[in-house]
Amino acid sequence: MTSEALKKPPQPRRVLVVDDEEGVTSALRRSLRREGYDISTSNDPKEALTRLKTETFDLVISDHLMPGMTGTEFTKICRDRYPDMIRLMLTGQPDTQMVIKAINEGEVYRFVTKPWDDLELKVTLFMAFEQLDLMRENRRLLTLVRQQGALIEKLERDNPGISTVMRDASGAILIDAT
Amino acid sequence: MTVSSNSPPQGDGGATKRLTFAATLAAEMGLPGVKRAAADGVRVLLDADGATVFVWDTSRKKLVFDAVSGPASAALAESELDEGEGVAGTVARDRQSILKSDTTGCTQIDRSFDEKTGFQTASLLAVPLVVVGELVGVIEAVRSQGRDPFGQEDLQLLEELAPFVAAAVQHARLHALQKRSNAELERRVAERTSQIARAKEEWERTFDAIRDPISLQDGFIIRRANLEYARRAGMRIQDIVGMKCHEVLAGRKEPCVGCPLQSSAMRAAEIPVKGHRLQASAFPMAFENKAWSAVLSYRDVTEQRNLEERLKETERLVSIGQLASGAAHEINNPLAFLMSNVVTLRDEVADTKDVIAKARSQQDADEWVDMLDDTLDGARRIADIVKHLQVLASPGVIARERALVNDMVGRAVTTVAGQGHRVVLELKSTQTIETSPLRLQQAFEHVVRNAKQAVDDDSAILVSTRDEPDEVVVRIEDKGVGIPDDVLPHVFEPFFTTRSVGKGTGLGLTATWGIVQQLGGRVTIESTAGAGTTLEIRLPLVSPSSPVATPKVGRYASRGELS
Repeated sequence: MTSEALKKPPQPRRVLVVDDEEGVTSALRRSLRREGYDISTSNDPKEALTRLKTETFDLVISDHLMPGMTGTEFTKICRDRYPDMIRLMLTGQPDTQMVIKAINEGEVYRFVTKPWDDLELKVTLFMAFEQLDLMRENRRLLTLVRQQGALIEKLERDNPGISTVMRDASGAILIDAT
Repeated sequence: MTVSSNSPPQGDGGATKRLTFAATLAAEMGLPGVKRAAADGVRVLLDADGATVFVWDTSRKKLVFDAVSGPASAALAESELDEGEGVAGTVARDRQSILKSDTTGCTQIDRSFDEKTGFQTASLLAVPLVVVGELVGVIEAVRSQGRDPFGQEDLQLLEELAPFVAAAVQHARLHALQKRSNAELERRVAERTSQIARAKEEWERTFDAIRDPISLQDGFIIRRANLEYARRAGMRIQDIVGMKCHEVLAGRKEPCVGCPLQSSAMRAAEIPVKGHRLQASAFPMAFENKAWSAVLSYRDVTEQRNLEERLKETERLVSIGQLASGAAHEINNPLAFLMSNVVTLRDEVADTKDVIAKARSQQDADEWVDMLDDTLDGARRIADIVKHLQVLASPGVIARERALVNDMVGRAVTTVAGQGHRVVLELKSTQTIETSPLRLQQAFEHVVRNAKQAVDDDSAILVSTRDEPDEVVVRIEDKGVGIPDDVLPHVFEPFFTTRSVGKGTGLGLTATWGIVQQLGGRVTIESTAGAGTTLEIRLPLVSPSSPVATPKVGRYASRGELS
């Protein structure tokens, strides 16, 4: 059985970093590139949204305080448009209420504070992708179950009774009850 | 006394009788007495059956039938005659004596008197009483039927007696008038005196009711003072009078510095008085030409000044905190990528040490990694400071819950306590307060850490808690090196530290102050260089929503204390 869902993506994970500070995006690009990720950066959240219309990313890391749009506003749009993309928030001094709200409403997978610890960030990304893989595997299996269900229905239509297993009083399966 | 009508008084005997008559009149002071004596005397001297003294009421133009001597006197009292009415009225009008030897058929006589009295007037004499041309009355004498009628000698005698009577009546009238006016004056004086006394008492009570010290002075000498003045002086009002204000109120030998009495325009000034600050105002008072008279009033501004100072200090620290926090926020972004880059670079260099060693030297390869490690250490320290600074002005959105003060203090001591220090705990509080437990614990930790660093190894630190009606008080006392006076005002400022560079950020007490402030509490510190430091944290049981507590102390909050 060769379904699209069964194939693992052969290309490296694609990460988009959004921060109005170029120093931050560059540093993250250099740091994460060594992990084998495909890093893209943007210094303007609006520009990043435009880019997301044509490109697909597995994960986005966004700053909070940016001119024109806050990080929560940005991740909210991302959640609505690209629910599969994991969203991380990178902030200076997170406001507790904001963090709780963002996490509870499912806008953000995790918060990372600035200055971040490189190792911690890498671990966070690793875990995020683990979760992404599980999510995708889950979805693949779900699709598989649905496909098999459809197949059985088709067989039953073509050969009525084929999907029904008949047993005798002792529980032994009867191959031909007719 | 029997006087024969045939032997009228004359010669020496008559003169003696007239003198006696005059003397008798003069001896009488009151008008009724004079009139009665006159009527009696005239009756006797003229051997009349009746004699009457009429007094002329000038204002009412009436002749008042005032005193009668004779058998019918009582019935005639209070009778009045108009001017020209009857014999007496005619005499009064004409100022001419009348002699009626025989009244039979005489129309002038008002017979109503006889009808009233039952007396039969046969002859009569009436003489005006005149003093210096002014009519004062009429004197009349009558004889009844069967007696010899009055003759010309009798008239002459009565006219001789009349001036004595007139003078005596006038004198008595004036005397009575004077007595009346004297009594009136006395009454008025008494009334005014009591009014003045009431006004004085009212004013005294007014000044005593004022809860500010007030005095009236000639220069520095106190002439009057109110109750509050005496209370503050700790003396009785009567003992204060005559003493000097700076001795009595302020307890100093010399006039107070800035005394309004010593400034040219009597400018109000604040004067320290026995631990209080009094605002003294002087008002010049022109009284009895004393150029130096002045009213002094004092207002206790101690509490007000303390509040103002605390508010100013709070504002100063808040603005410093905001500045520091704002700067920290700006530092954070570049610091973030700086650190990330150093880590990346360090890992790259570490991975390529072999290559570097070959191209340069083994020492270079080692040192490059070390350099980057050191750089990272420095950056981490900056990150630590930045984190502390950000806490200073972070809004009050920290999650709050009710927690026992004792628990937080206990944990703070346990966390900080190391070897060689004795920490004595006296945790008497049983209250919970609304707080962020972890942050408040950190606030306590900073203080305990400071105390530890201030004391010798064998000296104890006393940490105590107690409950007060609306707050919990936490005290941390040490008998350590203390804080010099010039340093004390700065201990809550960020980056203020007496430790060597790198040994402390100078943010510990600032953070403590910031956290306590956010909870609506207060931190006070007392210290004596070389003797130790006591730091007190007061935390309200219910913290306000606003980060800066509004003082709720009124202007007179400090009243009732006598220092």
